[in-house]
Amino acid sequence: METTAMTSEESERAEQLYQEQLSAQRVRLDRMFAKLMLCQWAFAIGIALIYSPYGWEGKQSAIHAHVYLALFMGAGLTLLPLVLVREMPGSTRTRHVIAISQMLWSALLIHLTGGRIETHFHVFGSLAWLAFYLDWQILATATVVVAVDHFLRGIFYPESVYGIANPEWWRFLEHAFWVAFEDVILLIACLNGLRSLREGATREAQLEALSESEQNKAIALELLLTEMKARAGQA
Amino acid sequence: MRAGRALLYGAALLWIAAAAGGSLYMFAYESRPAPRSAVAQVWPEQVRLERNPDGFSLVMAVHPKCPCTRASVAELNKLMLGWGGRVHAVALVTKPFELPDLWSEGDVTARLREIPNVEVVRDLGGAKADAFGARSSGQTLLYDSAGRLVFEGGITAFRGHEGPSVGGEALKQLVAGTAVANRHSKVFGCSLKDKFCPARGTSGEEHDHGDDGNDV
Repeated sequence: METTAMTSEESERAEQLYQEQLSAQRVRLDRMFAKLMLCQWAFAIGIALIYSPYGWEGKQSAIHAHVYLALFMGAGLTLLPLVLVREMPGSTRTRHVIAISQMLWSALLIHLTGGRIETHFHVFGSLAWLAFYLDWQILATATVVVAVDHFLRGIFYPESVYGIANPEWWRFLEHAFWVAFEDVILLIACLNGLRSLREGATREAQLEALSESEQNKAIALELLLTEMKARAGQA
Repeated sequence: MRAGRALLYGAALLWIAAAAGGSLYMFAYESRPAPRSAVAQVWPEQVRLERNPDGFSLVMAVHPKCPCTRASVAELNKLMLGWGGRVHAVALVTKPFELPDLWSEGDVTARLREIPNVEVVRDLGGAKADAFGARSSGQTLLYDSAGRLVFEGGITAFRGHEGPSVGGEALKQLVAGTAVANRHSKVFGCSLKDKFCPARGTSGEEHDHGDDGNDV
């Protein structure tokens, strides 16, 4: 893109516009995640009620642990993001809490659907959604949550992650590789997104400056014209 | 302002409790196996079930309403498709005497019927499962051509989860004739017996175990 030299006022205005637009995008995304959290909560309760409503011992049944888990763990994971989105929309803290909650939602949904391989896509889908924050630190936070979950499971109960009791030491790296693979793509997308936003803000600042300059010229011309008319009238 | 802050702290506490407590509970729940039971080391002839004299015979005890068993059934389906008729399998779908036959019908039983080479047997009072010594839904036993037990356990890695497992891998190796590291695995499934009547049958009454099974 061809750029022209900017004045310091234009640079300041461009930075202001960039921060405003980035903040507005993040606030919009916070609100979207708040709605998503509520939808996930309703979905989790629905899944638990449909898929595993009761636990059985012979002919005796009791409400399944999954129903309580969906209800209470889901409530806990949803409430704080909702409060933060209301009280501190667009803040870094809100984004990090949303990222951690979203990854924990993945774990809960995978658990509630009986470890279905399809539900694991929730992890990758969530990372993609989080990338719209255009903040690499959010991706790092979400990735750390997944990594810690796998690491702890790998230590205490490797079968739950790898399906075998004594996995090779590098199995953890295989899982991490695919998350890192997506992270790299999303990181590039984040940087491109930030660059586009900055370029847009710069263009807007330059247009504003140009528009202001043109307006000033028009006013000056109008004043000159009025003055000439006045002189002609006197003559 | 103060109310907003109190709400924030309250939500934060709940969030930490949900994240930490929920994750621990989830982990404890899914990794807690059913208690081990003494299973029949030799195929019990009194059950009057067909055994494969030229190969392996597999028995899976099934509680038709156990949600965790869906994963066991899915894994059984994968195994049976892989074996392509080399293994004869029997699924013992338990049904208490006092309940109607429809009680044992549901998605678990329907899915079992769709698996090739699996004979679905309605097990009245859990008598046949008792004869095999199976106490939990999803408990799977493999017998060789001579009727000797070669494997006993579950075929899911943990409670209600599909995917590779110690039991499933052991069964694959046994049928393929390769060396096997584990001949037992943990079982994750609902109890076939009532909580307070674990002795015999689902109602605790005495039953003639030889005649109460029907094919369904």
